[in-house]
Amino acid sequence: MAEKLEDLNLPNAVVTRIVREALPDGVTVAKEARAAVAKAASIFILYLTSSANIIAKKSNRKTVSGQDVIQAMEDIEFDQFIAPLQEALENFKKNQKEKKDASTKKKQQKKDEDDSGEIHEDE
Amino acid sequence: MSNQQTSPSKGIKELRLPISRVKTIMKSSPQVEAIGQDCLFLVAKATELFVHYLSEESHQKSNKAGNLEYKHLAEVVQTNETLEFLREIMPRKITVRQFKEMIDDKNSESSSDSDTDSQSDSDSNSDSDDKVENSSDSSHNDNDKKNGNNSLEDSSKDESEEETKP
Repeated sequence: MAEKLEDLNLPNAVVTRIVREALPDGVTVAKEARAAVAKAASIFILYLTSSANIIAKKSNRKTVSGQDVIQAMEDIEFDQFIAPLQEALENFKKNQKEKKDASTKKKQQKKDEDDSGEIHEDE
Repeated sequence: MSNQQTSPSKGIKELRLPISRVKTIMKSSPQVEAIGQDCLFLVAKATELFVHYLSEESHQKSNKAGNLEYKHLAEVVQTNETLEFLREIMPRKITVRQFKEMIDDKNSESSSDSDTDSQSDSDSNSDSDDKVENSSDSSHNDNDKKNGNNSLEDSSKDESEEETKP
């Protein structure tokens, strides 16, 4: 849960960096505009979350999934974001799987080492 | 080995927004019970795309001026259908003169309605004024209770109201 009110704002520096990337070089962003974009981004998160939550609730799920978010994008008429998000989701899943595989591999290795260590002790 | 360890984290690192902060904001919504990992990632990603879209769109609307100002953002928010959800927190700015004119218009309208009353009896008029104030107060309280759970929206609304009254 949020403890301070500032915890519900996104860091201004990060938001400003994304704004700068979207604009051609040399365009300055007024301080007021930066604050407004950051605030808009927070509201967007809540707007998207509640739309995705409604979709999850409709199919009797308590946990909001990635697919719910993509479907919510359609509901809130940000269709142009669906393709890049779909791609990002696949990348994310692939990376998660790699991570999982890597950690199980690590565990297996550790187990092997332990086993060989035991054998050494026996000898 | 080192290569294997950097590649899985790449997907998260390509995000620029802090995932923990995004989660805090999502959890501040009272209806939300649980958030999946992929959902959290996608919301953060979508927010980045949104910030990109809003800035790009505003810059185009400003006729590609050399600077991006609040008025450009407000203009896009007020005219773009998909950005309707931001209309309350990003109103167009108005000058003090415009604000005064608005107030004058309002006053002249309401006074023309109650012209006969105010002339006939000053006491009854002040009574009715009190009643109006009370009823509007209580409706405000109701709204506050409804929105009380969502402190973020409250605070942003308050600020935007201040902005409209320079």
